[in-house]
Amino acid sequence: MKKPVTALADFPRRVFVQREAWDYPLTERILERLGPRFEIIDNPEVIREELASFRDPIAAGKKILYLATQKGKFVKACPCSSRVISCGYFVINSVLGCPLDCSYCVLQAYLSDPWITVFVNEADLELSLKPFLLSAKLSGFRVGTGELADSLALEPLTGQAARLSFLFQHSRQAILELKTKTVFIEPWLDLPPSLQIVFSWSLNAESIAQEEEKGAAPVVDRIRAASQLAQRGYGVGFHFDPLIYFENWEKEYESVIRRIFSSLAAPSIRWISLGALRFPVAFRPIIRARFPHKPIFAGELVLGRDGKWRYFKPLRLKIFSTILEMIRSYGGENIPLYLCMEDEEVWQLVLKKKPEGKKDFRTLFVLPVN
Amino acid sequence: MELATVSVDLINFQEKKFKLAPLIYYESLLSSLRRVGLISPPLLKEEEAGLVIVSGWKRVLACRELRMKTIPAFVASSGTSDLELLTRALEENLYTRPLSLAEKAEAVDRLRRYGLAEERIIAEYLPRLSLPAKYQFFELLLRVAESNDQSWKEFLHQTEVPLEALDLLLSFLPEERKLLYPYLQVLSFSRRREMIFNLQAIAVREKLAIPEILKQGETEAIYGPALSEPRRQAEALAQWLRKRRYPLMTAWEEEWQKAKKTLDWPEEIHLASDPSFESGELRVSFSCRSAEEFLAQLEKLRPIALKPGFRRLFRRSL
Repeated sequence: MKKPVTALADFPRRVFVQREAWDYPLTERILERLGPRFEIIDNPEVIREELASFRDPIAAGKKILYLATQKGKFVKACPCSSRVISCGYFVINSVLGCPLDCSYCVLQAYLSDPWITVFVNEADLELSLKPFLLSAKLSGFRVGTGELADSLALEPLTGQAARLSFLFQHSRQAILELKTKTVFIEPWLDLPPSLQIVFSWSLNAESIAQEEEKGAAPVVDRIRAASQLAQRGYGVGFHFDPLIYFENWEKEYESVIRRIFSSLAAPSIRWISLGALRFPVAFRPIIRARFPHKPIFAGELVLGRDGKWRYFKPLRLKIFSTILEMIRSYGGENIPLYLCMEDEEVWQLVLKKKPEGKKDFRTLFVLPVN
Repeated sequence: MELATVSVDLINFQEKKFKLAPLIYYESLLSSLRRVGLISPPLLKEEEAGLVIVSGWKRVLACRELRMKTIPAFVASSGTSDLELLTRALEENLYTRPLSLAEKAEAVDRLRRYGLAEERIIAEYLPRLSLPAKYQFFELLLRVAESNDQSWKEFLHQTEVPLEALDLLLSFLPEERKLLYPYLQVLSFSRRREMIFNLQAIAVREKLAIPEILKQGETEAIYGPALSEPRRQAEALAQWLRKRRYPLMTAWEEEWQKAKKTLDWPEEIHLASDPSFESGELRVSFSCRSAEEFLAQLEKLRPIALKPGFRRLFRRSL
């Protein structure tokens, strides 16, 4: 396997193994790759205490790997927000936390602990995925590992995405989405593609990516990786999320969109989502402590009724409409497009339609365009 | 430690190692002392250079002002550690009043200097000081204590500043902070907080230093003679900063108010929009005591709803 790059170069600095997780094959595989420097602990209180003495426990936590067993549900409905249209997504909680350090990432507030937890009880995970894999009634049903983690950031270490994609190759209807800001795609370059596996990249304006997405691959590399997989027949997706309103936003986003459509054939793009910068109230103190001088948080963000800070609504409408127009004009007229965490009004004003329910939503993703 | 009668002349007022407050006002105590004398003895420590005040600075200074020759006091022997005495003083203070941020900063700094481990200060003392038990707050307080800017400490002693705004204020230069004190001191707690956050956001977004923002052309009217009263000046500045911070939303608010004004909306019927304009809903409320009153209010609203200006209240995009 190629030497890990970007965020993984110095990850992990510390490894803790829950005693209960010791006997699992995934633990063995990971520790084989990492070498003998790890500590076995009974519970993560030890890590919590250690991190309490750090000025920036979140940054310190991102260098810690914790191997544990998942006691809760592996698959859950994506935690959306109240008063908005949910896209009916499901999340596989096999990893919690991400070694990339994106300033705007709400996981900093959402996850109770800042370290990276890998759940090693793969057999239980596979068991909980079985109903989704076998059901013939789940057309357009999407499930992914990229909500509480980056789907591929730990791939050189865990090989978990490769294993999941192997399972989903045999899925009857459900689609596995592997969402990332990295370019760890090597395992799939020589594998036959499957319609049930979609690789997607979170994209942003290049200057925002450079400034705010510490450890992530450059945007051009992400698009190149998408193009490589698309050429091999895989479906790909893009998430312009979070869209940021800054001085040159139109020019910079247009440049990314132009690059996408000059690098990939539109039919290989299974979906594109748009989401504007937003974060919960609990995220504010984190910004103030970690990124007090970042201009992206000094935009015209107002507190909405769902307890989230977002751009003033008319501004969001302008951003979404502009980006949508760009996507359509560069060749994405037929690509399914959706908005993340937006209400009916925004859907209507931007997309001139709104899904009537989760089922209706899924029809967006049923089959690749073309 | 024993209760003794000590000579005020033997107290070493120069030694301030237990003094936490940067400013001490004891005037209000004078009349009480004149009436009933010193009820609660201060705590002093015996040292080579005289008796050192551990707690009760106000009381001792007031007694000196009244030219009392002797006062009752608890006296700790020279063998008692500074850490032990400081923790006693701290407990006594916490029992009687909330400490200012400046005092909390001094307390944390001295606990550390007198040998208490950082982890214990964070785990045990920060919660006692009503602060989260996190390293970042410990460090924040140390930065306040280590500052040589006396006016900054005095400001923090007199003015309650939200903890999350303290870090931002610390990131301003001392000269920048000084410019703000007169305004921040007269504003309410929430307005003060809003002003600090708005200033910082404008500074970050527009890449301007605080004095540059405060000296913008539009602010001339705020500092001019028309608004000579400090509170009105501070309110006007806060308002101007909000407008600068949220140009679109405040323009929207103004337009909404303008549209409402053209409708001659009855005062007794309350009309409100969602403060963030996130939802397009308007909220209309009034009170009534009978069906007739209810219908009368509706009758007032009907012609208003038919005016073209009414639709402007529902505007949704730029």
